[in-house]
Amino acid sequence: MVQFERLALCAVMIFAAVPALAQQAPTPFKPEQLSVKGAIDPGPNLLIHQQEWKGAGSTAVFSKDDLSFKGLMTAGNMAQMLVGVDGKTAYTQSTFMKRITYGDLEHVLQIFDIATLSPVKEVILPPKAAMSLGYAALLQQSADGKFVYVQNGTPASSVTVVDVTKAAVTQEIPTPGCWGIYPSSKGYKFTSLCGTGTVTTFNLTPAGTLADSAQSAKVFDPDKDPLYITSATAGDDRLFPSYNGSILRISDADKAAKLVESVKINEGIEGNWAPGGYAPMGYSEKTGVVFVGMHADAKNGSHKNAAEEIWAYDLKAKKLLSRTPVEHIMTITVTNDDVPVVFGLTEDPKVIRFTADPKAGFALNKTGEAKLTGYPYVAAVTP
Amino acid sequence: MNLFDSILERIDRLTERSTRTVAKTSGRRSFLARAGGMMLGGAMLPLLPFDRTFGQALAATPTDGDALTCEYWRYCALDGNLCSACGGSITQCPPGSEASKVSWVGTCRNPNDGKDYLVAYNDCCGKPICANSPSCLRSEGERPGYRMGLHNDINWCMANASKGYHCTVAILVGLAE
Repeated sequence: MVQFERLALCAVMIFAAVPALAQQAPTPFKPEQLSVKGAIDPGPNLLIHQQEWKGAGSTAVFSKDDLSFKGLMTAGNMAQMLVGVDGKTAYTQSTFMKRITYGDLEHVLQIFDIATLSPVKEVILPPKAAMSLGYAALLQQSADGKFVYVQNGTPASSVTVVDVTKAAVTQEIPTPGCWGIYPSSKGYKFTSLCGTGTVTTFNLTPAGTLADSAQSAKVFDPDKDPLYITSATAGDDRLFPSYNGSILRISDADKAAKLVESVKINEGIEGNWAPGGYAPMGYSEKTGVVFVGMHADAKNGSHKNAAEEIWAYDLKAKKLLSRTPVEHIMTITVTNDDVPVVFGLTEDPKVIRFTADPKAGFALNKTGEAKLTGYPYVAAVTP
Repeated sequence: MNLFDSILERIDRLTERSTRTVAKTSGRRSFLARAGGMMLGGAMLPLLPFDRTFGQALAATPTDGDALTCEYWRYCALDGNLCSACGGSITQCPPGSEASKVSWVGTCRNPNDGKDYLVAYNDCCGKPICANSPSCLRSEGERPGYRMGLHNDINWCMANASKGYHCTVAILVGLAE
């Protein structure tokens, strides 16, 4: 009976539809128009520079929330990337050779509008910029965004100061024996890690020229327990991880930098765990939790081994809160949300998105992943 | 976890790390372990405590290991592609490329005689990255750029006219103290 009712219903529907189809005139074909999408979809972004050593690198833009892909900005060889303080501007410093691997060379600071993925300005730099794997500390900016600082390496070390409001270089500051740029939380000074285990503070004038510099006492041992050049801001201070698993907190408030404290996060843990990767640490300021990529059986030369776990460590309570197994992560970026989001860049390469669970010691739950290309070691988020 | 599982896990981890070392694709360089300071490729040889007796080991084709693999002992701090498998040799840049003017240094133990040697890693320049050859990432004694002579994340073609990174050689320049 039920079968009969279904057949009857179908028949009624078909008869009802036939007149409608018969009356419908054919829709004229309308050719599609080619256009260029004006801007990326709105919302907070995750920028990852996909470095190349044989041609154009690219800065990939993803949605911070779900890793949907929004597009690419272009750069030259061996680029460094920085997101401006306004969250709307991105910078790359990279190398352009006339014949790609040889010929006349330009080092260029490109200034991009993130919304349209387009370069809006560029500054030709002295041809000395460090041609290095991607590290955030090699391209930085003053707290107000007026100056961009470029790490040079010829191999002598210096920093080129660029006034981006004028798109002009103000000065090249020699920084002999030091590497990495760590701007102060206000004003125009930056510190740099030095091969003697000291930290040098370079104090600039409002015109972007060197006023004076000051060297700290020895704060780390570059032979026995070197510092990574990756860092995170903590209030007005800076955090640096060491090869052996200490987190050093360094203040630049005074004329010369000072060590505030050193906390060993792997004390008493079995398995000889240590940090590993290119940028193995990120800090969640609001929660006071530092996230560190760790590998087991650490030894001389393993400091770039990819992370097998990410440890969440409470810097105030000095307590290891959780250990999350992960897949070969080389770089960690942590957002400043109330509940931190952690992005990990892997060797494959790909980006993995995690949310931290405050009720489970900030253990990480994977919430997405996306494919990357090149050598992607620097990531940053926008509001 | 029982003992067997524990052993298997350890083997897995070791295998994974070894594979990763071979497969890793990065590239950059560094230099002089204890001597410090910058040096110029060939010009550094007379400056170092140079044991002439291992002239044999300086041969383009070494007989003390497989120089075509990342595991070869001289490559203990080499981040880059092997010139030995790219048309050059362990001490020679491939034809048509330029030898880098500056280099970084590793201190590597030769398992054949138990001695530690200073190894200069020069890049060869002016051509595309030689992805046809093994890409190695080993970092014994490696340090960030504040110890530039030991740093292997940077392009050591930086002081050449042609700055394109091609591949890396590993030259014995002295015995480590």
